[in-house]
Amino acid sequence: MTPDVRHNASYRHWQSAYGITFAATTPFYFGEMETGFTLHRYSAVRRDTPSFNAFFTFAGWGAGYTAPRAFSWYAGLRMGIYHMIFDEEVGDEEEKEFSFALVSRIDLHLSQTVRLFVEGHVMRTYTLPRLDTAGLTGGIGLRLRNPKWLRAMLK
Amino acid sequence: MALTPPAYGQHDGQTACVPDIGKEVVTREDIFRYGFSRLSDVLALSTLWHTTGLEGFHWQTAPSGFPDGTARWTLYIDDIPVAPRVLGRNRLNALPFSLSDTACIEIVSGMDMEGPALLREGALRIYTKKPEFGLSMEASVAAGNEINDPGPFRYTLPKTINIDRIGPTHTASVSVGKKTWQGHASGRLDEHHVTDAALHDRAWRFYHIPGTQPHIRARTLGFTGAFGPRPRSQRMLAGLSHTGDMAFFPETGFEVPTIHRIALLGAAGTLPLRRDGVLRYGVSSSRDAFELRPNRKDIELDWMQRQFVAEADARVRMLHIGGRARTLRGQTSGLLSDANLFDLRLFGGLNARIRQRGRTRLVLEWIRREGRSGAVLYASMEMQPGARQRLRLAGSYGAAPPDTRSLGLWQERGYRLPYSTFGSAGHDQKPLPRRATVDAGWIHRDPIGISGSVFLFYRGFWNDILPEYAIAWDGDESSFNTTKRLFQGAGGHTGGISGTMALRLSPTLLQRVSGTFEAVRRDGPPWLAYGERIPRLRIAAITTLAATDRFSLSALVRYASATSWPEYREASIEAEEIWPWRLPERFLVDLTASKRMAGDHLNISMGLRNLLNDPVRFHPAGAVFYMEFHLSVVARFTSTAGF
Repeated sequence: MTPDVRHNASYRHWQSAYGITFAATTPFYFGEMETGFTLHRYSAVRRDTPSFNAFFTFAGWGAGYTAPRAFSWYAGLRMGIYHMIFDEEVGDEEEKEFSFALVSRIDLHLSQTVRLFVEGHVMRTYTLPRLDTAGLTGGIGLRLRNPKWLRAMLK
Repeated sequence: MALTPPAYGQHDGQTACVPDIGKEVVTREDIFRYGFSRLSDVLALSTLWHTTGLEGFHWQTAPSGFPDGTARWTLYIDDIPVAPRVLGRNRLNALPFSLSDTACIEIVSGMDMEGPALLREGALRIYTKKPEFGLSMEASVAAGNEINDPGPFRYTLPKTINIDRIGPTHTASVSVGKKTWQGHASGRLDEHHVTDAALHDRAWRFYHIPGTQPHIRARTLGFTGAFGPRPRSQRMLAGLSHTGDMAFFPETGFEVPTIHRIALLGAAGTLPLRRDGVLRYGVSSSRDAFELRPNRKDIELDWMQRQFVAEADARVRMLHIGGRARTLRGQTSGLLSDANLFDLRLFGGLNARIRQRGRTRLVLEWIRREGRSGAVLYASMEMQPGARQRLRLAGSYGAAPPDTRSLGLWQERGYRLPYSTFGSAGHDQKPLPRRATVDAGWIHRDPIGISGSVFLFYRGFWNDILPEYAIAWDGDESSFNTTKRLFQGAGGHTGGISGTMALRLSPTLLQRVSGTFEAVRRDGPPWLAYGERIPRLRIAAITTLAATDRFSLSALVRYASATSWPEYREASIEAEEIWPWRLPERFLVDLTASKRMAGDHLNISMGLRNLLNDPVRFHPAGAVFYMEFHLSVVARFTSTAGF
């Protein structure tokens, strides 16, 4: 679950709501690779601008440090496309732009499989003007063994 | 770029796709590693050639020492001669051929006397990949996004222009490989959207396809095949392409919507002769037609040309003879004073060995064009002081009738390019253009240690024929008003030095640095204008971190010094610097990650180009390029490795 906590110029026109994030992570060259998506709703503050859903599809890489037993810390970057789908103007209702994010996450390992995490990110979407956001995410992570076909594919 | 021989090459088993003095090589591995998707993309790795472009799809390029417009460089695909330009415009990305079909590309700047034709004005040699045994299929998609879209702010700011996606470029191919024959069919659908803010009004002037923004869309279908008792001794090429184009000519001053159709057929090969001799041949026939693309005023280029090229050479012991013939027939609805061009070149010479470590060549070429004759003398000497080193000295001098493959000479014969003004000084009675070239170089190749090369060049021009432009800006029509005339008597001298060094700092870290510096001595105004367009100093540095052969991280850093385009000075002042006639130096950083996955079935490249987001222009009338995000995915399946 991801609430946005800061906006730039966009704050005068849109109010962000909670969103969701899904990411799959796997070990990859000196660290971890992740891929996933984030969905946010931006509601219009004024009548002359439409509300929109923002869908960030990303791939990322980072490295972490595991403290004995319970905690681990991860820092990485994400790159992807920020896909904005506006509520109005049927037929010309979307925009896509490149986004770059820095991510830091702390995990609390409840068991070999289950963990709780809290994650912070700062993200820049390269629109003109820039759309800068920061967010906090909290959630549950599951650690599963990769199936053979996935290991073969990533090799 | 590699400094080791790739697995495959056709031109000559010993030298094809091996970097040499004045020759850069881009391998298939480089193409995947940097996520290139178009033929012109590979020129980013070259410092020997300089490149300019407007909208980001078509690029004009020329080798060192030849200011743009003065080089008639040659294009070969599997040794089949293919015309690279039509009406003076580079058509590389419109050809019925895909970069994904490539095994390697040679970018040749120095003199090439290997034949069948003698080349001293540069060449691009593309070698297609050899299909694997059995059936194989490949598909790829490459797309990108240039930053600075308005995003949600398009609803809040008074005037913003959407900068659209880059591409996508789709390719698909099927190959069959047998012991004595191979066939490869491929198709490409390539899009480029002309949405840059600087070009917006000009591109929209006549563009009118409802529901779309100005864009270029190329659809191509190509076939390459090979057969013969010796592997790939006979090769053929066929293809069709249809490009919905936005053709900018300096003469028109704006983008003319047009449909460019290309039909291409060619063959090349080698045949054995008696006494250990070899006959090589290359032949091609092409048809280029520019047709009406829907636009506001139904303007069209109204041009069609057919070209036939044949070249052959034979070597028997010390003797080397050969020739090249080319016919070009133009067609337009107006009257041409002469619709045919004929060009014949014949040469003969001697090759001699100097002990075991060197060889020398002396060749005389006779050139016949448009009823006038000329001759060029070529000489070269190569020495191999060590197993991994080579020295070369080569030169040429001669006077020949001007090469007639240019828009200006067709205009002189009566072709009317829409919205253009043309005046000619005439040149029939003037002395023949003369040119001199000198190349000198040294190369050291070591696959695991340090490799390096140095290349020195000189080009001299006398009585050259160059178009001279006077360009003004018409703000009401959002286009340039250009007056052009052909000027004879242009002359000057260019010279420079180029160097390359490649080394491995560790088994996983490869570094390569190359740079070219060239200087132009200015003899008269037209030559001054041409010389100033070249970035005098060009540097490219590549650092590749390859943890394994399946994953790499590459950084490409490029520098090009500032250029000036004096013919745009007036337009620049009139347009209040929207079109700057002086372009500042360029400093570009590209970062690419490339990963092979799923065995060898999948190759993914993801990269950022112009990472520093420095606004970059390659031409005063061109687009401004910002940071771009690129993604390319290639999927490959073979019957031997399993589907």
